[in-house]
Amino acid sequence: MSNRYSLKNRFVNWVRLGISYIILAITAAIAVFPIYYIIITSVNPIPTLASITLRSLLPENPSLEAYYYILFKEPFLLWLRNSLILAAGTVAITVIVAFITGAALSRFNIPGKTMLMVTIYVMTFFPFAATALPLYLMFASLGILKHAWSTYVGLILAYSGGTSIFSSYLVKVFLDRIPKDYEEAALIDGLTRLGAFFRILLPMAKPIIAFVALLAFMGAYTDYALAYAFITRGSMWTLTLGMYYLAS
Amino acid sequence: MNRATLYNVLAAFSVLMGIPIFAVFIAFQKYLVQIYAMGGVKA
Repeated sequence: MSNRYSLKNRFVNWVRLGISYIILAITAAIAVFPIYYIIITSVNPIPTLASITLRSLLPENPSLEAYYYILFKEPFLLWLRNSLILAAGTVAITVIVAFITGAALSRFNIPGKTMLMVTIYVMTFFPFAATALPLYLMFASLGILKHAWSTYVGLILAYSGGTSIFSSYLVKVFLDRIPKDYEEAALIDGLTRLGAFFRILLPMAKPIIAFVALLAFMGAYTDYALAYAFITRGSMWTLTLGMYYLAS
Repeated sequence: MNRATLYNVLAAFSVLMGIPIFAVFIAFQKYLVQIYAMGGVKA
């Protein structure tokens, strides 16, 4: 009797597992298909979209002509370098600011902390691109847009301001879940408050710092609005501007 | 090449542009997985 029951139980488990796998496979296919479509379009020798028929899902005569065109006929590597400079600067500033702000919000009793948290949270909903015009006016009157390198400094500061708001909040929430006892033990063992932050809390916050760095990188790397507003010279173009140029 | 929209060039551009993001993700993967293992970032 128990044997029959377990057999039935096993069967039910198999069916459950099967249904889960089918649903997961469909979801994965939906998520992966656009990327696959972009890849087969990129190896298409004719400059058209790959047609979606079952036969054309495997490209017939793939060529790397498009890649050759981008890498050697267009200054792709220059644009890439510019984008990476902006992204690296943004990541560096965002990680430092977000960690310090998050640690302070999580560990100290600052007067008006609730108000500050609400402000930070509300700022998160504010569309970043809407700040392009005020930032432009501000930077122009400061003379930041005159030189190439200072334009980059301005852009990095603007991106960092945009990304470090939400990142501080993320770090704060993450640090709230780490018990204070670790730092207190470190203080008893003779570390300073600052030492406890950087030598105890920082290594434990590595996951959220990696996440914040990824967010900042993607924010700066994929931005179009601010780069379009600030960058004037062709040699300073980023990848997004280059892509728009190629598309039109 | 003509000046009509070069879809294959744009697609190749997208693929090449995605590589750095992918690289950064791979570099941080060890830590990012820890976040998901903790039950996500609760805001």
